[in-house]
Amino acid sequence: MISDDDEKPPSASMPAAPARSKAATALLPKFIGHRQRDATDIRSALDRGDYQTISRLGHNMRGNGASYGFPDLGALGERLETAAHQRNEEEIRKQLAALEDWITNVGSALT
Amino acid sequence: MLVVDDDPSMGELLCAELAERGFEASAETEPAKALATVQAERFDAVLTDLHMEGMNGLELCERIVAARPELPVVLLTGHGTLDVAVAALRLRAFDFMTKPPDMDALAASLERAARHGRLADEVRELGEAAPGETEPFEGIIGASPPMRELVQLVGRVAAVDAAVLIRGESGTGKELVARALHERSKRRGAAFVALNCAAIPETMLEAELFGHVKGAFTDARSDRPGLFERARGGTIFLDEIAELHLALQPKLLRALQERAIRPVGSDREVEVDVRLVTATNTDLANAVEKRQFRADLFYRLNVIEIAVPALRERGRDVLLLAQHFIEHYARTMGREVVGLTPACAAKLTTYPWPGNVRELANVIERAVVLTRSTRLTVEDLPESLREHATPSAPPVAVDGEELVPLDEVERRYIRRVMAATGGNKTLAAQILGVDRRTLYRKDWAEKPPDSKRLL
Repeated sequence: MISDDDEKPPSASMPAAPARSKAATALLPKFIGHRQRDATDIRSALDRGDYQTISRLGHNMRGNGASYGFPDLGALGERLETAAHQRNEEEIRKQLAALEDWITNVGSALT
Repeated sequence: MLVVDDDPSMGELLCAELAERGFEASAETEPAKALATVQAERFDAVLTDLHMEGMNGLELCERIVAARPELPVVLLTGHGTLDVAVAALRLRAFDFMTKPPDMDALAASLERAARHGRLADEVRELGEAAPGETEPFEGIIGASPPMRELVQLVGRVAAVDAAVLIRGESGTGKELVARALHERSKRRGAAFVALNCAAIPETMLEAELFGHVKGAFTDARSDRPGLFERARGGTIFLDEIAELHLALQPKLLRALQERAIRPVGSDREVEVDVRLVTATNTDLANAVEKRQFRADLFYRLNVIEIAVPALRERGRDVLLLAQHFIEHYARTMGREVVGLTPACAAKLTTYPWPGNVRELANVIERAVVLTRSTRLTVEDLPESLREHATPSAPPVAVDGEELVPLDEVERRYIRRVMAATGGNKTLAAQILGVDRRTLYRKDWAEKPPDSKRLL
Protein backbone atom coordinates (compact mmCIF):
# COMPACT_ATOMS: atom_id res chain seq x y z
CA MET A 1 0.00 0.00 0.00
CA ILE A 2 1.07 3.52 -0.64
CA SER A 3 0.84 5.77 2.40
CA ASP A 4 -0.67 9.24 2.46
CA ASP A 5 2.81 10.73 2.76
CA ASP A 6 3.76 9.04 -0.48
CA GLU A 7 0.83 10.67 -2.23
CA LYS A 8 2.36 14.10 -2.00
CA PRO A 9 3.18 15.36 -5.51
CA PRO A 10 6.79 16.19 -6.25
CA SER A 11 7.90 19.73 -5.80
CA ALA A 12 6.59 21.68 -8.77
CA SER A 13 9.44 24.14 -8.73
CA MET A 14 13.19 24.10 -8.44
CA PRO A 15 14.07 23.20 -4.84
CA ALA A 16 15.29 26.27 -3.01
CA ALA A 17 18.75 25.19 -1.97
CA PRO A 18 19.46 21.60 -2.87
CA ALA A 19 23.03 20.40 -2.79
CA ARG A 20 23.21 20.51 -6.56
CA SER A 21 26.70 20.45 -7.98
CA LYS A 22 27.97 22.63 -10.82
CA ALA A 23 28.09 19.55 -13.07
CA ALA A 24 24.47 18.63 -12.25
CA THR A 25 23.31 22.22 -12.86
CA ALA A 26 25.01 22.28 -16.25
CA LEU A 27 23.33 19.03 -17.22
CA LEU A 28 19.82 20.03 -16.08
CA PRO A 29 18.36 20.77 -19.56
CA LYS A 30 19.55 17.35 -20.74
CA PHE A 31 18.23 15.76 -17.56
CA ILE A 32 14.76 17.20 -18.12
CA GLY A 33 14.90 16.02 -21.74
CA HIS A 34 15.61 12.49 -20.50
CA ARG A 35 12.64 12.69 -18.11
CA GLN A 36 10.42 13.78 -21.01
CA ARG A 37 11.53 10.67 -22.85
CA ASP A 38 10.85 8.62 -19.69
CA ALA A 39 7.27 9.99 -19.58
CA THR A 40 6.73 8.97 -23.22
CA ASP A 41 8.27 5.55 -22.62
CA ILE A 42 6.15 4.99 -19.49
CA ARG A 43 2.97 5.89 -21.38
CA SER A 44 3.72 3.47 -24.24
CA ALA A 45 4.90 0.74 -21.80
CA LEU A 46 1.63 1.13 -19.92
CA ASP A 47 -0.34 0.77 -23.17
CA ARG A 48 1.36 -2.58 -23.90
CA GLY A 49 1.35 -3.73 -20.25
CA ASP A 50 5.15 -3.65 -19.97
CA TYR A 51 5.46 -3.14 -16.20
CA GLN A 52 9.11 -4.18 -16.19
CA THR A 53 10.12 -1.13 -18.21
CA ILE A 54 8.07 1.13 -15.92
CA SER A 55 9.70 -0.42 -12.88
CA ARG A 56 13.17 0.14 -14.37
CA LEU A 57 12.44 3.75 -15.31
CA GLY A 58 10.98 4.41 -11.85
CA HIS A 59 14.02 2.82 -10.24
CA ASN A 60 16.40 4.95 -12.29
CA MET A 61 14.44 8.10 -11.46
CA ARG A 62 14.74 7.23 -7.79
CA GLY A 63 18.54 7.25 -8.13
CA ASN A 64 19.02 10.11 -10.56
CA GLY A 65 16.43 12.40 -8.90
CA ALA A 66 18.41 12.41 -5.67
CA SER A 67 21.73 12.74 -7.48
CA TYR A 68 20.54 15.82 -9.45
CA GLY A 69 19.18 17.47 -6.30
CA PHE A 70 15.49 16.56 -6.80
CA PRO A 71 14.62 14.33 -3.84
CA ASP A 72 10.88 14.68 -4.62
CA LEU A 73 11.46 13.31 -8.11
CA GLY A 74 13.36 10.44 -6.47
CA ALA A 75 10.29 9.76 -4.29
CA LEU A 76 8.06 9.86 -7.38
CA GLY A 77 10.33 7.33 -9.07
CA GLU A 78 10.06 5.07 -6.05
CA ARG A 79 6.25 5.25 -6.15
CA LEU A 80 6.33 4.45 -9.86
CA GLU A 81 8.58 1.46 -9.25
CA THR A 82 6.30 0.17 -6.48
CA ALA A 83 3.17 0.69 -8.58
CA ALA A 84 4.77 -1.20 -11.48
CA HIS A 85 5.60 -4.12 -9.18
CA GLN A 86 1.97 -4.12 -8.04
CA ARG A 87 0.78 -3.72 -11.67
CA ASN A 88 -1.32 -0.83 -10.37
CA GLU A 89 -2.27 0.95 -13.60
CA GLU A 90 -4.25 3.69 -11.89
CA GLU A 91 -1.38 4.61 -9.61
CA ILE A 92 1.06 4.53 -12.52
CA ARG A 93 -1.14 6.97 -14.49
CA LYS A 94 -1.35 9.21 -11.43
CA GLN A 95 2.44 9.25 -11.00
CA LEU A 96 2.90 9.74 -14.73
CA ALA A 97 0.72 12.85 -14.57
CA ALA A 98 2.76 14.07 -11.59
CA LEU A 99 5.95 13.47 -13.58
CA GLU A 100 4.61 15.46 -16.53
CA ASP A 101 3.67 18.33 -14.17
CA TRP A 102 7.14 18.22 -12.69
CA ILE A 103 8.74 18.37 -16.14
CA THR A 104 6.58 21.36 -17.13
CA ASN A 105 7.24 23.27 -13.93
CA VAL A 106 10.96 22.59 -13.63
CA GLY A 107 11.37 23.13 -17.38
CA SER A 108 9.71 26.54 -17.20
CA ALA A 109 11.68 27.45 -14.07
CA LEU A 110 14.82 26.81 -16.06
CA THR A 111 13.91 29.06 -18.97
CA MET B 1 37.47 5.57 -16.31
CA LEU B 2 34.53 3.74 -17.78
CA VAL B 3 31.18 4.56 -16.21
CA VAL B 4 28.47 1.97 -16.80
CA ASP B 5 24.87 2.96 -16.03
CA ASP B 6 21.78 2.13 -18.04
CA ASP B 7 20.39 5.50 -17.00
CA PRO B 8 22.04 8.04 -19.34
CA SER B 9 21.37 10.88 -16.86
CA MET B 10 23.47 9.15 -14.22
CA GLY B 11 26.23 8.23 -16.66
CA GLU B 12 26.44 11.83 -17.88
CA LEU B 13 26.45 13.24 -14.36
CA LEU B 14 29.12 10.85 -13.10
CA CYS B 15 31.34 11.57 -16.13
CA ALA B 16 30.94 15.33 -15.64
CA GLU B 17 31.65 15.13 -11.90
CA LEU B 18 34.70 12.95 -12.50
CA ALA B 19 35.95 15.27 -15.26
CA GLU B 20 35.75 18.17 -12.76
CA ARG B 21 38.01 16.14 -10.50
CA GLY B 22 40.58 15.51 -13.21
CA PHE B 23 39.48 12.12 -14.50
CA GLU B 24 38.96 11.25 -18.12
CA ALA B 25 35.70 9.33 -18.11
CA SER B 26 33.33 7.95 -20.72
CA ALA B 27 29.92 6.40 -20.20
CA GLU B 28 28.31 3.24 -21.49
CA THR B 29 24.59 2.49 -21.02
CA GLU B 30 24.64 -1.16 -22.08
CA PRO B 31 26.56 -3.58 -19.82
CA ALA B 32 27.28 -6.02 -22.68
CA LYS B 33 28.83 -3.20 -24.71
CA ALA B 34 30.79 -2.10 -21.66
CA LEU B 35 32.24 -5.61 -21.35
CA ALA B 36 33.34 -5.51 -24.99
CA THR B 37 34.77 -2.01 -24.50
CA VAL B 38 36.96 -2.95 -21.53
CA GLN B 39 38.36 -5.84 -23.54
CA ALA B 40 39.18 -3.62 -26.49
CA GLU B 41 40.33 -0.43 -24.78
CA ARG B 42 42.50 0.42 -21.81
CA PHE B 43 40.84 1.85 -18.69
CA ASP B 44 42.23 2.50 -15.23
CA ALA B 45 39.00 1.44 -13.52
CA VAL B 46 35.31 0.75 -14.12
CA LEU B 47 32.48 2.34 -12.16
CA THR B 48 29.24 0.45 -12.64
CA ASP B 49 25.67 0.73 -11.45
CA LEU B 50 24.22 -2.37 -9.79
CA HIS B 51 20.67 -2.53 -11.17
CA MET B 52 20.79 -2.58 -14.94
CA GLU B 53 18.77 -4.20 -17.65
CA GLY B 54 20.30 -7.19 -19.41
CA MET B 55 23.19 -7.71 -17.04
CA ASN B 56 23.35 -6.45 -13.47
CA GLY B 57 26.42 -4.81 -12.00
CA LEU B 58 27.46 -7.91 -10.05
CA GLU B 59 27.42 -10.06 -13.17
CA LEU B 60 29.28 -7.37 -15.09
CA CYS B 61 31.84 -7.15 -12.27
CA GLU B 62 32.28 -10.94 -12.31
CA ARG B 63 32.77 -10.98 -16.08
CA ILE B 64 35.20 -8.05 -16.06
CA VAL B 65 37.23 -9.68 -13.27
CA ALA B 66 37.32 -12.92 -15.32
CA ALA B 67 38.32 -11.14 -18.54
CA ARG B 68 40.59 -8.45 -17.10
CA PRO B 69 41.58 -9.43 -13.55
CA GLU B 70 43.83 -6.39 -13.20
CA LEU B 71 40.99 -3.93 -13.94
CA PRO B 72 39.40 -2.67 -10.69
CA VAL B 73 35.61 -2.40 -10.57
CA VAL B 74 33.74 -0.06 -8.22
CA LEU B 75 30.03 -0.79 -7.72
CA LEU B 76 27.43 1.89 -7.19
CA THR B 77 23.94 1.13 -6.01
CA GLY B 78 20.84 2.70 -4.57
CA HIS B 79 20.59 -0.10 -2.04
CA GLY B 80 23.24 -0.31 0.62
CA THR B 81 22.31 -3.82 1.69
CA LEU B 82 24.74 -6.18 3.35
CA ASP B 83 23.94 -8.94 0.89
CA VAL B 84 24.97 -6.84 -2.05
CA ALA B 85 28.07 -5.50 -0.31
CA VAL B 86 29.24 -9.01 0.57
CA ALA B 87 28.44 -10.30 -2.93
CA ALA B 88 30.38 -7.40 -4.46
CA LEU B 89 33.41 -8.00 -2.30
CA ARG B 90 33.28 -11.76 -2.90
CA LEU B 91 33.34 -11.06 -6.62
CA ARG B 92 36.51 -9.07 -5.99
CA ALA B 93 34.91 -5.71 -6.65
CA PHE B 94 37.40 -3.05 -5.60
CA ASP B 95 34.86 -0.96 -3.71
CA PHE B 96 31.15 -0.55 -3.17
CA MET B 97 29.33 2.78 -2.74
CA THR B 98 25.75 3.91 -2.37
CA LYS B 99 23.71 6.41 -4.41
CA PRO B 100 23.67 9.33 -4.40
CA PRO B 101 27.42 9.09 -4.09
CA ASP B 102 29.57 11.55 -2.21
CA MET B 103 31.52 12.54 -5.31
CA ASP B 104 34.74 13.35 -3.45
CA ALA B 105 34.68 9.98 -1.71
CA LEU B 106 33.86 8.29 -5.03
CA ALA B 107 36.71 10.13 -6.76
CA ALA B 108 39.09 9.08 -3.97
CA SER B 109 37.96 5.47 -4.32
CA LEU B 110 38.44 5.58 -8.09
CA GLU B 111 41.87 7.13 -7.67
CA ARG B 112 42.85 4.26 -5.38
CA ALA B 113 41.31 1.81 -7.85
CA ALA B 114 43.31 3.36 -10.70
CA ARG B 115 46.53 3.14 -8.69
CA HIS B 116 45.74 -0.48 -7.91
CA GLY B 117 44.97 -1.13 -11.59
CA ARG B 118 48.22 0.42 -12.75
CA LEU B 119 50.17 -1.69 -10.26
CA ALA B 120 48.34 -4.81 -11.43
CA ASP B 121 49.19 -3.91 -15.03
CA GLU B 122 52.80 -3.54 -14.07
CA VAL B 123 52.82 -6.94 -12.37
CA ARG B 124 51.20 -8.56 -15.41
CA GLU B 125 53.66 -6.91 -17.78
CA LEU B 126 56.55 -8.16 -15.66
CA GLY B 127 55.23 -11.69 -16.02
CA GLU B 128 54.83 -11.24 -19.75
CA ALA B 129 58.13 -9.47 -20.33
CA ALA B 130 59.95 -11.02 -23.24
CA PRO B 131 63.36 -12.47 -22.45
CA GLY B 132 65.86 -9.66 -22.75
CA GLU B 133 63.59 -6.88 -21.57
CA THR B 134 64.71 -7.39 -18.02
CA GLU B 135 68.01 -8.98 -18.94
CA PRO B 136 70.35 -8.77 -15.97
CA PHE B 137 73.76 -7.15 -16.29
CA GLU B 138 76.11 -9.90 -15.05
CA GLY B 139 73.35 -11.05 -12.71
CA ILE B 140 72.46 -7.51 -11.59
CA ILE B 141 68.72 -6.96 -12.06
CA GLY B 142 67.23 -3.49 -11.93
CA ALA B 143 65.71 -0.79 -14.07
CA SER B 144 65.50 1.98 -11.47
CA PRO B 145 67.59 5.15 -12.02
CA PRO B 146 70.07 4.34 -9.20
CA MET B 147 70.60 0.84 -10.60
CA ARG B 148 71.04 2.11 -14.14
CA GLU B 149 73.71 4.47 -12.82
CA LEU B 150 75.33 1.63 -10.91
CA VAL B 151 75.45 -0.63 -13.96
CA GLN B 152 76.96 2.16 -16.07
CA LEU B 153 79.59 2.82 -13.40
CA VAL B 154 80.44 -0.88 -13.10
CA GLY B 155 80.83 -1.07 -16.89
CA ARG B 156 83.24 1.87 -16.89
CA VAL B 157 85.19 0.87 -13.77
CA ALA B 158 85.56 -2.80 -14.72
CA ALA B 159 88.09 -2.07 -17.42
CA VAL B 160 90.30 -0.01 -15.10
CA ASP B 161 92.54 -2.17 -12.97
CA ALA B 162 92.11 -0.04 -9.87
CA ALA B 163 91.02 -1.02 -6.35
CA VAL B 164 87.30 -0.63 -5.79
CA LEU B 165 85.46 -0.16 -2.50
CA ILE B 166 81.81 -1.18 -2.68
CA ARG B 167 79.58 0.44 -0.12
CA GLY B 168 76.08 -0.70 0.67
CA GLU B 169 73.77 -2.09 3.31
CA SER B 170 73.80 -5.77 4.10
CA GLY B 171 71.99 -7.83 1.48
CA THR B 172 72.16 -5.27 -1.32
CA GLY B 173 74.26 -7.51 -3.56
CA LYS B 174 77.77 -6.14 -3.09
CA GLU B 175 79.35 -9.47 -4.04
CA LEU B 176 77.29 -9.50 -7.24
CA VAL B 177 78.74 -6.10 -8.11
CA ALA B 178 82.25 -7.38 -7.35
CA ARG B 179 81.67 -10.40 -9.60
CA ALA B 180 80.34 -8.12 -12.35
CA LEU B 181 83.52 -6.02 -12.08
CA HIS B 182 85.57 -9.20 -12.47
CA GLU B 183 83.50 -10.62 -15.35
CA ARG B 184 83.70 -7.34 -17.28
CA SER B 185 87.44 -6.95 -16.73
CA LYS B 186 90.41 -8.37 -18.60
CA ARG B 187 90.91 -10.63 -15.58
CA ARG B 188 87.73 -12.61 -16.26
CA GLY B 189 89.70 -15.66 -17.49
CA ALA B 190 91.33 -16.02 -14.07
CA ALA B 191 89.85 -16.75 -10.65
CA PHE B 192 87.41 -14.66 -8.62
CA VAL B 193 88.00 -15.41 -4.95
CA ALA B 194 85.68 -14.07 -2.26
CA LEU B 195 86.22 -13.91 1.49
CA ASN B 196 84.15 -12.40 4.26
CA CYS B 197 86.58 -10.87 6.76
CA ALA B 198 84.02 -11.16 9.57
CA ALA B 199 83.57 -14.89 8.99
CA ILE B 200 87.18 -15.92 9.61
CA PRO B 201 88.74 -15.84 13.09
CA GLU B 202 91.33 -13.10 13.36
CA THR B 203 94.11 -15.62 14.04
CA MET B 204 93.40 -17.52 10.82
CA LEU B 205 92.76 -14.59 8.53
CA GLU B 206 96.39 -13.82 7.77
CA ALA B 207 97.07 -17.42 6.70
CA GLU B 208 93.84 -17.43 4.71
CA LEU B 209 94.87 -14.31 2.80
CA PHE B 210 98.59 -14.86 2.37
CA GLY B 211 98.96 -18.62 2.85
CA HIS B 212 101.41 -20.39 5.15
CA VAL B 213 104.37 -22.73 5.04
CA LYS B 214 104.65 -26.13 6.67
CA GLY B 215 105.23 -25.79 10.39
CA ALA B 216 104.18 -22.12 10.54
CA PHE B 217 101.74 -23.09 13.31
CA THR B 218 100.49 -26.25 15.00
CA ASP B 219 98.09 -27.38 12.26
CA ALA B 220 100.26 -26.25 9.34
CA ARG B 221 101.24 -29.73 8.13
CA SER B 222 102.10 -28.56 4.64
CA ASP B 223 102.55 -25.41 2.58
CA ARG B 224 99.24 -23.87 1.64
CA PRO B 225 98.78 -20.96 -0.76
CA GLY B 226 96.54 -18.10 0.37
CA LEU B 227 93.84 -16.23 -1.51
CA PHE B 228 96.30 -13.82 -3.11
CA GLU B 229 98.15 -16.70 -4.73
CA ARG B 230 95.02 -18.66 -5.65
CA ALA B 231 93.54 -15.60 -7.31
CA ARG B 232 96.68 -15.02 -9.37
CA GLY B 233 95.76 -12.91 -12.38
CA GLY B 234 92.20 -12.58 -11.12
CA THR B 235 90.19 -10.70 -8.51
CA ILE B 236 90.02 -10.96 -4.72
CA PHE B 237 86.83 -9.78 -3.09
CA LEU B 238 87.07 -9.01 0.61
CA ASP B 239 83.65 -8.38 2.13
CA GLU B 240 83.18 -6.60 5.47
CA ILE B 241 86.63 -5.10 5.18
CA ALA B 242 85.97 -2.92 8.24
CA GLU B 243 86.28 -6.11 10.30
CA LEU B 244 89.91 -6.55 9.24
CA HIS B 245 91.95 -6.39 12.42
CA LEU B 246 94.27 -3.41 12.86
CA ALA B 247 97.29 -5.72 13.12
CA LEU B 248 96.57 -7.20 9.69
CA GLN B 249 95.86 -3.91 7.94
CA PRO B 250 99.52 -2.94 7.30
CA LYS B 251 100.14 -6.38 5.78
CA LEU B 252 97.27 -5.94 3.35
CA LEU B 253 98.49 -2.42 2.55
CA ARG B 254 101.93 -3.78 1.81
CA ALA B 255 100.52 -6.48 -0.45
CA LEU B 256 98.77 -3.78 -2.46
CA GLN B 257 101.70 -1.41 -2.60
CA GLU B 258 104.47 -3.91 -3.25
CA ARG B 259 102.37 -6.42 -5.18
CA ALA B 260 104.03 -9.05 -3.02
CA ILE B 261 103.01 -11.08 -0.01
CA ARG B 262 104.81 -13.10 2.60
CA PRO B 263 103.12 -16.38 3.60
CA VAL B 264 102.88 -16.98 7.36
CA GLY B 265 106.08 -18.59 8.60
CA SER B 266 107.96 -17.88 5.38
CA ASP B 267 110.97 -15.65 4.99
CA ARG B 268 110.56 -15.11 1.27
CA GLU B 269 108.17 -12.89 -0.61
CA VAL B 270 105.85 -14.10 -3.34
CA GLU B 271 104.84 -11.77 -6.14
CA VAL B 272 101.12 -11.47 -6.72
CA ASP B 273 98.99 -10.00 -9.47
CA VAL B 274 95.44 -9.48 -8.31
CA ARG B 275 92.81 -6.81 -8.38
CA LEU B 276 91.42 -6.10 -4.95
CA VAL B 277 87.75 -5.31 -4.58
CA THR B 278 86.51 -4.69 -1.04
CA ALA B 279 83.09 -4.02 0.43
CA THR B 280 81.65 -2.58 3.59
CA ASN B 281 78.26 -1.95 5.09
CA THR B 282 79.65 0.55 7.58
CA ASP B 283 81.02 4.05 7.22
CA LEU B 284 84.69 3.26 6.69
CA ALA B 285 85.68 6.94 6.67
CA ASN B 286 84.15 7.23 10.12
CA ALA B 287 86.15 4.17 11.22
CA VAL B 288 89.28 5.97 9.98
CA GLU B 289 88.39 9.03 12.04
CA LYS B 290 87.95 6.83 15.09
CA ARG B 291 91.32 5.21 14.32
CA GLN B 292 89.68 1.81 13.93
CA PHE B 293 90.85 1.62 10.33
CA ARG B 294 94.14 2.84 8.87
CA ALA B 295 93.78 5.93 6.74
CA ASP B 296 96.54 4.87 4.31
CA LEU B 297 94.82 1.51 3.68
CA PHE B 298 91.43 3.22 3.33
CA TYR B 299 92.74 5.50 0.57
CA ARG B 300 94.44 2.56 -1.11
CA LEU B 301 91.20 0.54 -1.13
CA ASN B 302 88.96 3.46 -1.97
CA VAL B 303 90.49 4.44 -5.31
CA ILE B 304 87.02 4.04 -6.81
CA GLU B 305 83.93 3.87 -4.67
CA ILE B 306 80.72 2.24 -5.81
CA ALA B 307 77.58 2.70 -3.72
CA VAL B 308 74.96 -0.02 -4.03
CA PRO B 309 71.48 1.40 -3.29
CA ALA B 310 69.25 -0.13 -0.65
CA LEU B 311 66.24 -2.00 -2.04
CA ARG B 312 63.83 0.60 -0.58
CA GLU B 313 65.54 3.23 -2.79
CA ARG B 314 65.02 1.17 -5.93
CA GLY B 315 61.31 1.74 -6.50
CA ARG B 316 59.71 -0.83 -8.77
CA ASP B 317 62.91 -2.90 -8.95
CA VAL B 318 61.43 -4.87 -6.08
CA LEU B 319 58.82 -6.25 -8.51
CA LEU B 320 61.43 -7.05 -11.17
CA LEU B 321 63.51 -8.86 -8.58
CA ALA B 322 60.47 -10.62 -7.11
CA GLN B 323 59.51 -11.86 -10.56
CA HIS B 324 63.09 -13.02 -11.16
CA PHE B 325 63.15 -14.93 -7.86
CA ILE B 326 59.69 -16.41 -8.47
CA GLU B 327 60.82 -17.78 -11.83
CA HIS B 328 64.08 -19.03 -10.34
CA TYR B 329 62.55 -20.80 -7.34
CA ALA B 330 59.55 -22.12 -9.28
CA ARG B 331 61.96 -23.67 -11.76
CA THR B 332 64.30 -25.17 -9.15
CA MET B 333 61.44 -26.46 -7.00
CA GLY B 334 59.30 -27.60 -9.93
CA ARG B 335 56.35 -25.47 -8.78
CA GLU B 336 53.70 -23.84 -10.96
CA VAL B 337 54.11 -20.26 -9.76
CA VAL B 338 54.11 -17.50 -12.36
CA GLY B 339 53.83 -14.19 -10.53
CA LEU B 340 52.23 -12.05 -7.84
CA THR B 341 48.71 -10.87 -7.10
CA PRO B 342 48.36 -7.05 -7.12
CA ALA B 343 47.76 -6.99 -3.35
CA CYS B 344 50.93 -8.99 -2.80
CA ALA B 345 52.83 -6.67 -5.16
CA ALA B 346 51.54 -3.68 -3.18
CA LYS B 347 52.87 -5.20 0.03
CA LEU B 348 56.27 -5.85 -1.52
CA THR B 349 56.59 -2.33 -2.92
CA THR B 350 55.72 -0.58 0.34
CA TYR B 351 57.75 -2.73 2.75
CA PRO B 352 61.08 -1.06 3.67
CA TRP B 353 63.19 -4.23 3.20
CA PRO B 354 65.78 -3.77 5.97
CA GLY B 355 67.46 -6.98 4.76
CA ASN B 356 67.42 -5.76 1.16
CA VAL B 357 67.57 -8.14 -1.83
CA ARG B 358 68.68 -11.04 0.33
CA GLU B 359 65.55 -10.67 2.46
CA LEU B 360 63.37 -10.43 -0.66
CA ALA B 361 64.92 -13.60 -2.08
CA ASN B 362 64.23 -15.45 1.19
CA VAL B 363 60.64 -14.16 1.32
CA ILE B 364 59.96 -15.26 -2.26
CA GLU B 365 61.61 -18.65 -1.76
CA ARG B 366 59.42 -19.28 1.30
CA ALA B 367 56.31 -18.05 -0.51
CA VAL B 368 56.96 -20.27 -3.55
CA VAL B 369 57.21 -23.26 -1.18
CA LEU B 370 54.02 -22.38 0.72
CA THR B 371 51.67 -21.00 -1.91
CA ARG B 372 48.62 -22.89 -3.08
CA SER B 373 48.05 -20.72 -6.11
CA THR B 374 49.91 -19.83 -9.27
CA ARG B 375 50.31 -16.24 -8.09
CA LEU B 376 51.80 -15.41 -4.72
CA THR B 377 49.24 -13.82 -2.40
CA VAL B 378 49.59 -11.70 0.74
CA GLU B 379 48.84 -14.86 2.72
CA ASP B 380 52.04 -16.42 1.36
CA LEU B 381 54.17 -13.65 2.87
CA PRO B 382 55.70 -13.80 6.35
CA GLU B 383 53.77 -12.17 9.20
CA SER B 384 56.18 -9.20 9.41
CA LEU B 385 55.26 -8.26 5.83
CA ARG B 386 51.57 -9.05 6.11
CA GLU B 387 51.29 -6.83 9.15
CA HIS B 388 53.27 -4.00 7.65
CA ALA B 389 50.82 -1.20 6.84
CA THR B 390 50.44 -0.60 3.11
CA PRO B 391 50.09 3.17 2.64
CA SER B 392 48.35 2.69 -0.69
CA ALA B 393 45.74 0.38 0.85
CA PRO B 394 42.26 1.84 0.50
CA PRO B 395 41.86 4.13 3.48
CA VAL B 396 38.51 4.73 5.11
CA ALA B 397 36.41 7.60 3.89
CA VAL B 398 36.49 9.80 6.96
CA ASP B 399 33.46 11.92 7.65
CA GLY B 400 33.55 15.27 5.95
CA GLU B 401 36.64 17.24 6.70
CA GLU B 402 37.34 15.41 9.92
CA LEU B 403 41.02 14.75 10.40
CA VAL B 404 41.84 11.73 12.53
CA PRO B 405 44.99 9.89 13.60
CA LEU B 406 46.17 6.99 11.45
CA ASP B 407 45.25 4.33 14.00
CA GLU B 408 41.72 5.74 14.07
CA VAL B 409 41.58 5.54 10.25
CA GLU B 410 42.72 1.92 10.49
CA ARG B 411 40.17 1.17 13.19
CA ARG B 412 37.31 2.71 11.20
CA TYR B 413 38.32 1.00 7.99
CA ILE B 414 38.49 -2.41 9.62
CA ARG B 415 35.06 -1.79 11.14
CA ARG B 416 33.76 -0.82 7.72
CA VAL B 417 35.10 -4.01 6.17
CA MET B 418 33.79 -6.05 9.08
CA ALA B 419 30.38 -4.47 8.60
CA ALA B 420 30.45 -5.03 4.85
CA THR B 421 31.31 -8.70 5.33
CA GLY B 422 28.66 -9.21 7.95
CA GLY B 423 31.33 -9.93 10.56
CA ASN B 424 33.00 -12.65 8.48
CA LYS B 425 36.59 -12.39 9.70
CA THR B 426 38.01 -14.71 7.07
CA LEU B 427 36.53 -12.65 4.26
CA ALA B 428 37.42 -9.39 6.04
CA ALA B 429 41.02 -10.55 6.50
CA GLN B 430 41.18 -11.42 2.79
CA ILE B 431 39.93 -7.99 1.80
CA LEU B 432 42.26 -6.23 4.25
CA GLY B 433 45.20 -8.32 3.12
CA VAL B 434 46.08 -9.33 6.68
CA ASP B 435 46.24 -12.60 8.50
CA ARG B 436 43.00 -13.69 10.16
CA ARG B 437 44.84 -13.99 13.49
CA THR B 438 45.93 -10.37 13.14
CA LEU B 439 42.30 -9.39 12.90
CA TYR B 440 41.53 -11.33 16.09
CA ARG B 441 44.30 -9.51 17.89
CA LYS B 442 42.70 -6.15 17.08
CA ASP B 443 40.13 -6.14 19.87
CA TRP B 444 37.96 -3.49 18.17
CA ALA B 445 37.41 -5.91 15.32
CA GLU B 446 35.56 -8.09 17.82
CA LYS B 447 32.82 -5.53 18.26
CA PRO B 448 29.61 -6.35 16.42
CA PRO B 449 29.55 -4.81 12.95
CA ASP B 450 27.45 -1.73 12.45
CA SER B 451 25.13 -2.95 9.75
CA LYS B 452 23.70 0.51 9.14
CA ARG B 453 27.01 2.02 8.19
CA LEU B 454 28.25 0.15 5.21
CA LEU B 455 30.44 2.88 3.91
